[in-house]
Order: sequence, then structure tokens, then C-alpha cells
Amino acid sequence: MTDTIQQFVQELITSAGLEQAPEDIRKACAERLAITVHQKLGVMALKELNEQDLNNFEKLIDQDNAPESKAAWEFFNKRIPNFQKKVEATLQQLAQEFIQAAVNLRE
Amino acid sequence: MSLFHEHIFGKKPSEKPPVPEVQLDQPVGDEDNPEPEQPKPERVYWLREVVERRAIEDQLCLDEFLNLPDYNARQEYLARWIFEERQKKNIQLADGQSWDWQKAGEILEEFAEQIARNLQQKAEKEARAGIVSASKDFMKEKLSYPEIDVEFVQRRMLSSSGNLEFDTPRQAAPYQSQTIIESLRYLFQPYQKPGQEVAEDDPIRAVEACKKYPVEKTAQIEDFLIRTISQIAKSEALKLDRIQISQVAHEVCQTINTIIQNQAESQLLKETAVRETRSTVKKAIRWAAELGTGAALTSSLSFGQLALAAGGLFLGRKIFEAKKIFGIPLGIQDKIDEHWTKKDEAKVETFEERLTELTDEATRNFTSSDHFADDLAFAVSGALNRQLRESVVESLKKEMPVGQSSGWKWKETGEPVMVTPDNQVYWSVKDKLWQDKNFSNLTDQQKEQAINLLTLTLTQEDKARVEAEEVLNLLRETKPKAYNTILKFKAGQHPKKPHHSLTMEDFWVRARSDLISLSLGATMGLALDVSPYFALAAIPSVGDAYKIINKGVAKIKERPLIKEMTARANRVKEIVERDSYFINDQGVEELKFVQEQLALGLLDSQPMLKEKAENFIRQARQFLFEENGLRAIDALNRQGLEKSLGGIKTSRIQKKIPPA
Repeated sequence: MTDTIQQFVQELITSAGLEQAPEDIRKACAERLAITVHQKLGVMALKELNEQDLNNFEKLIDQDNAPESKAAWEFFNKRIPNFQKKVEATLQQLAQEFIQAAVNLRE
Repeated sequence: MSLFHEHIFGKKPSEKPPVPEVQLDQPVGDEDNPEPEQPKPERVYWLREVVERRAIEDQLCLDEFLNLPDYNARQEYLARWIFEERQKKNIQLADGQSWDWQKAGEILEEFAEQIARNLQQKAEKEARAGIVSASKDFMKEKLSYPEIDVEFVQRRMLSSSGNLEFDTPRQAAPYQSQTIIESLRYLFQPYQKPGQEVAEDDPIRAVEACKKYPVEKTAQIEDFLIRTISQIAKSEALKLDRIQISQVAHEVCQTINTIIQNQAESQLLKETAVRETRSTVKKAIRWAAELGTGAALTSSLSFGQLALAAGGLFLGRKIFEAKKIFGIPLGIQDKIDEHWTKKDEAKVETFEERLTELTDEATRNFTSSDHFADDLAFAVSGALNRQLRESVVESLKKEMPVGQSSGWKWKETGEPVMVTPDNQVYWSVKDKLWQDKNFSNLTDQQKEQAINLLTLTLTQEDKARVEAEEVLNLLRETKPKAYNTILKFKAGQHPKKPHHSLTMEDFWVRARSDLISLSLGATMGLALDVSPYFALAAIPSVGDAYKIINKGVAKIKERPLIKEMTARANRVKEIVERDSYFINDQGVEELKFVQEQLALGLLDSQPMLKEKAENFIRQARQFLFEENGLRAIDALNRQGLEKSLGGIKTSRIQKKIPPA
């Protein structure tokens, strides 16, 4: 789980007004939500990347360790037009759904 | 008694004398003219009356009862019915403390048996008449219906509103104290002598039993741990009942088992990586081995998915049964059964044999370690502290009846509401929390937020899963080349080559889909950490709360992730295993560092280190509480704690904390 995603998830829980949930439940949910966020980002990338890109991605992670953050950033930024905006849109959509559902549950 | 009652309940062996209806607060005589002393009626008699006397066709609505969707709904139904009977009879109960739980439980159990007998008769009659099937499965299912959760039903029917209330005294949360750890250390000293057999109650033997947990729950481990924990609870005046002690013992078994299994599986993965010729799979397996199966990042590249990608090496039925943590998608087991071959069996047998060897080796390493007593003491003290909620999410996930039947529930107001698939997750979560007495100490707000957060988390998970499947299906149609690349990418096979995975398409597609989308997502997460300008735009309806600026979060940017994680874990180890700790500038930074790693989940793959780190934080918090009178220390969130620490840092308090 990366720091940015972790921070996003924490903000998500706070903004949904659920920060008073018991700490252990918050933590467990944060971990699961982070995985969900990762999966959503990955699905977004799947829609954007073509066959060649996927082959290149294979090369990127074909090393002993996880790729460096910088290399990962350059990879996506180069191959996905408006990468940053698309990431933001993905996260925003998730956040809006989450918050709206939280509001609905309270009503 | 009506004929229908006889039909359903059977003929009573003998009619009992009528039992006087009991009004609990009704005076019996007065001081001046005392009535002749009579045996005081039991409080539970009204319950016996209710369940025996009432005609079933009117009061229990048998057909409706049988059509309720699940066990929980039936418990709700029974509890509500008895509660209403209680209201009709105007039985007032001051509290649940003096209620005869045991007697009432016996009555309810008898009631359940009576229903079962009559259901059987009814089913047999219907079968003879050709109305329904008389198959064994049918009978078995029907006969399981009357099972009653006697505690749940009693709690609900005793409450003032019909809702579940927690009448028993709140159990004080077990606390972590130095004396507990020291006592446990003493109790866990192994006393096996060289050349001697391990004594029956030696802690080593108990730990050895843990390696098979939970497949084999042995009396050894339970007895030993329960005895030890009971001893500690008594000496430390911890208010733990038998069930709670048993829960702690089980959790300890689980922790030890996880430590042993993680070590064995990690080694097996490394060995597999050496044999593996497909580079992507090889690297992925190596990552998993490095990270451990419990690490947060590994959740993205979970063991089960890696196993699938590795070409069926781990398709062991026993393994699947035992390794629920793998997160194997539902339905895969059926596919395995469908396509199972002798070749697969041979592979699995080899795999299982090696895993057994490695498990034995890991167990020996654990029990022969110099830290054996320490490790066991921390495992028990950690479980004592957590005793309540840790695995709730997992258990909820397993019990989520997503997409299954609907039914009805009772709202707090007493009005029935229909449960639909849309709100079923919410009701399931709520039911679970209501029934879990460990949640009785939460405030209403905490309960509500816990229920909502769990509901939203589980719902989002499900949506993401469905979305991933849909995208992959779409790719198959719109970008067939890319789709084929995905197949090649994650299965480690060229799709044109015959491979048994291609005959199990649904099975494999799911695994590939998850693996690649999560791989991409995890890598993208790394990318976001390094972006010098990445910031989420504000969500209009939420405003500034959503401005997530990448301030100071690119801490993992220049070093490979695994090295960074290893370095952080080593640093935590160094801090928490030190003999003394000082609250000074450096100490405060260390405390924050340990807390941060715990929050990030970087210690999840090392349960024992995590226990020690959590204990370290608790010790520090306790110390801060004692020294600074922070009355609300337990309620402090991370920011609050840091703020408090900031104040302490300024005052430069220096105090030695006893070794943990």
C-alpha cells in the first residue's frame, strides 16, 4: 500500500464522517479500501493501455524488486494521455460514490 | 390443545399442572397479614407457558417461519414472537442480571427439539402424500431449522424494546501490563531437557500443535493455553469469562500458526521461484516470498492469485481448504473439482509433502529459539488486548450473503423492513455487530459508524470486482490483442499453446484479471508517490476535505520497495527490542516511526514483530498517561497522540520505560 493511496483512503473515511468508528475497524477497512483503490486504478489502466504498452509494463516489473516509483510514474505518464487527470477522476468517482453512500446510510 | 397443535408439536406425554402467571413486581401478601409461605415461582415459568401453551398456527406462523431465508432471520423471528408474548402478558423484568439464563435456555432448547420432532412428522406426512420430497437432504435441512441461539433470543426477548441489549456487565478490556508479560514469560519457559521427551504440558508441545491449527484443533493447545491464561487472569484480576479465555487461546493458536505457516510458505515460494522459468511469474513469486503472505502489498498480489498464475502448481484441494487467507475467488473450487486430473494430484502431493517438511522445520525454529518464551508471551498478551474485534471484517466478508435471498428484519422502532439485496450487506453487518458481545462497550455513534464503514467497504470491494470482470470481458471484444497479451502476461503461457487453463476459462480469466489489474494498480500507486505535482482536485460536494496533496509522502521514491520495507521493519525491530526507551527528541521520533509503520501495515507479514511493536506503543501510551494525566489517552487518534507527544517533546521529559 503506497503512501498516497493510504492517505487518500484515510481522507475518504474522514470525509465520509466515519472517523469515530473504532480504530481497529478503521484500520482493517482502510487496508481493504486501499486494495480496492489499487484495483480501480489498475482497471483504469487496462482500459488505456494497448498491447505494446502491456508488454512494456511486463518489462517494467520484470525485475527482482518492485519498480521504482519514479520509473512507474514515467511509464504511466508517457503512455496514458492526461494520466494525472484520469487518476484524479478515478479516485474522485470512488470518493463521490463512497460519500454519497455514507450519506444515504445515515438518512 | 388443538389438533393442529398436536399435528405440529405432537401429543404431550402428560399435561403439567397449570403454572401461575407471574407478575414479577406483584406483591405477595403484606407484612401484617403474611400469606402462607409458598415456593417462589421461577421467573422463567411464563416462558415455558408461552412456548408450550400457545397454539402454533396462530402464534408462530409455521409456514412463514419455514420460509425465512436464513438462521439469523429465524432467530429474529423467534425472539420477536416471544418478546411480543411477554408484552401481552405484561411481564416486567427489572434487568437481565437475575434472569435464570440456564433454565430459560433449557426451555428454549426443549422448544427447539419439540419443533424439530413435529417438523419431522409433518415432513414425513407430506412426503407420504407426495407433496414434498422426502430426500435425506431435504429432511436434514428442515430439521436444522429449529436450532435456537438461546442466548441471542433471551437477550432480545428480555430487552425493553425487543432490540438486542447487552445486559451483562461490560467486560473490562484486558490491559497490557509488565507483570502480565513477565508472568507469561515465566509460564512459557520450556522445560524439556536434552535427550528427554517433551512433557505433556510443556509449552513446546502446545506450540507444535499449533502448526496444524485450525485444521486440527487439539485438546493439547487449548488446555494448555486456557490453563495459562486463566492463571494470568486470576492473578491479574482480569475479568475474563471462560468463553473469552477460549477466544484468546484460539487467537494465540492462530498467531503462532500464521508465523509458522508464513515462514514455511515463504521458503516454498522461494524454492518455487528458483524452478520457475517464466520470468514474470518468477519475479512475482519472489516478491511474494520477500513480502510474506500477510503483507499489505501482497494483498494486491495475493498468494492465491500468484498460485493460479504459476500454472496450477498449488491447486491442492486441501491447500485451498486450509488457506482461506489466499482469497480464492468463489466458484473456483467447483472448477477444480470439475477439471481435476491425476497429474494435478501428483503435483499437489509433492507440494504438500514439501510444505509439511518446511512447516516442521519452521516449528522447530520457533520452539528452539532463544526468544521462545518471549514470543509466546507477546502472542498471548497481544491477544488479550485485542480480544474483541480484530478479525471482524474477515468474518463479515465470509458471511456476506451478497446476492442471496432476501427477508425481513425488525428496525429499532419495531416496524418490519424488507431486506433486499441492496441493503443486505448493511443488515448483515448490523446483525453481526449486534450479536457480538465484544461490541457492547462501543457508544451508539461508534457502533453506527462501524456498521456504515464496514458496509461501504464491502460494497466497494464487490463493485470493484464486478467492474474488473466487466472490463476484461470488454477488452476481449474491443482489444483482442491486448486481451491476449493479458492472458499471456499473467498465465505465463502463450495463449496459442494448449494448456489446461484454457479449458477452464472462467476460472483463469478471473485470476488473470485480478492479477493484472492489481499489478497495474499497485505500480500506479508507486507512481503517485513520486509525482512532484500530484494532487487530487477538490471534490465539489466535499470541498477542501478532499484536497490530498502529496506532501511528504514520497518517502519510498528512490529505493526499491522491498528494500525500503525491509529497512523499515529492521528499524522497528531495533527500536522495540531495545531494553530501554527515553521520551526525548529521538524517542518521540522513534515512537512516531513505529506507529506509522503499524498504520501502513508494513509489519503485517511479521506477526511477532507486530505484536512487539503494538505492545511498545501501548507501553508508551500507558507511560504517557501515567506521567501526564492524559485522561483521554485511549481515545486519542493518531493526530491527537502526535500533538500530545509534541507537548511532551517540548518539556523534554526523560523517563525510562521498563523493558517490554
